[in-house]
Amino acid sequence: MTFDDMRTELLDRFEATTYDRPIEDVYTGLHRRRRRFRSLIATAAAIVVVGTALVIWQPLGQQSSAIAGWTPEPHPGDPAIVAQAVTECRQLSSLPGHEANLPDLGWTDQRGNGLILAYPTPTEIWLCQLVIDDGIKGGGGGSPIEFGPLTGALRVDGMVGYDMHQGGTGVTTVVGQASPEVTRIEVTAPGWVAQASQYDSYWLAWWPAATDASQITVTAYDDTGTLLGTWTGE
Amino acid sequence: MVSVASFDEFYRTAGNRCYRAVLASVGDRDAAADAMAEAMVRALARWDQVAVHPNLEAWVVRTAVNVYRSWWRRWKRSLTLRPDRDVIADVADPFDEQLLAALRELPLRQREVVAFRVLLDLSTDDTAAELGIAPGTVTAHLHRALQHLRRTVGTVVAAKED
Repeated sequence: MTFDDMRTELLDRFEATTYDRPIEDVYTGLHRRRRRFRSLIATAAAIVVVGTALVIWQPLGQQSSAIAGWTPEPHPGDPAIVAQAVTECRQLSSLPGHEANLPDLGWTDQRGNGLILAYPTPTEIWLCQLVIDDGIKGGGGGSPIEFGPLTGALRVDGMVGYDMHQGGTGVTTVVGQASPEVTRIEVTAPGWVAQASQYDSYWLAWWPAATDASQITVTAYDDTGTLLGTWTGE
Repeated sequence: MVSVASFDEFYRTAGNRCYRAVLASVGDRDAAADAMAEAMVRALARWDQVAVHPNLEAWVVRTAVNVYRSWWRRWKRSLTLRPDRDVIADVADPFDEQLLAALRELPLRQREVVAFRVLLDLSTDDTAAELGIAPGTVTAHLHRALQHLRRTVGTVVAAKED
């Protein structure tokens, strides 16, 4: 059998596979992207604090249904699961073509069956997001988010958003820095209030919904409940 | 030079071929569909420039694979890349699962060569140009990939890959 014969056989075996997503999804995706970018540009111009490493992941279909039991408060996660997650994230980041070169793990943030491993350095942070369901059920990460200078009590450095169509609700993660006196950070989005997890001067919060940056408010408090800083997308 | 009247026409006529090539490269049905969707959005976003690409299908497939690569993996569906974690067996789809499993066992670069060289029917030189590798590397990757596919899928061939 020649190469052409082999090619014919492969083509035959692929023949039944068709791409069935409607073209309307493409136009909708473009519209969403432009709307989101406009919102982010406006936010950056007004606040000048959104970090440089904005990553937009789309579209991921129905994966948001994989997030169950989300809680406003973060939890560090079961050590056994975290150990599996560390291994998983190392494997994910070392896949050929990905080359993430993760730094040392900083902290973990689990809410329900969603788990984020955060790998901060003085200049940037890598996030590895996983779903737990009878073990690690996979996950992913993207480009690192760069840290800018923290000049006040609170800084928002970046946002990672999953924009899901086909019935999904998305996932939004916000990352930033805070001064040492900040002991509690709340991130508010329409329908969601998430308390951030903190590690050294870094913090993150996430919720299982796609949210425009313009709809997000972050507040920072000290241990007496005094408001130390506010960031808002509008 | 590919001449395309409109994005809609391209989507309708080339969508299946592109998707099959992306699927062969990525090895995962959902990830391929997601990456394809993103690539198509990017194509539409600057269609004026993209439409004049000398091999538009290759551009879309390359973009989709880059999109896929830019995410380490993604949530639950990414598990389908692992042969030992088959979570797609219950998916109702006529695609040949045996072939898909065999493709997943190949390195990404070999899958890309199969996609471009076989499914998109690009020449060795064009495949090399699209992937940014030497023509000889394309031939070597294709040889190894087809050897594996023959062995795994059960096709008995004495191929001349190029």
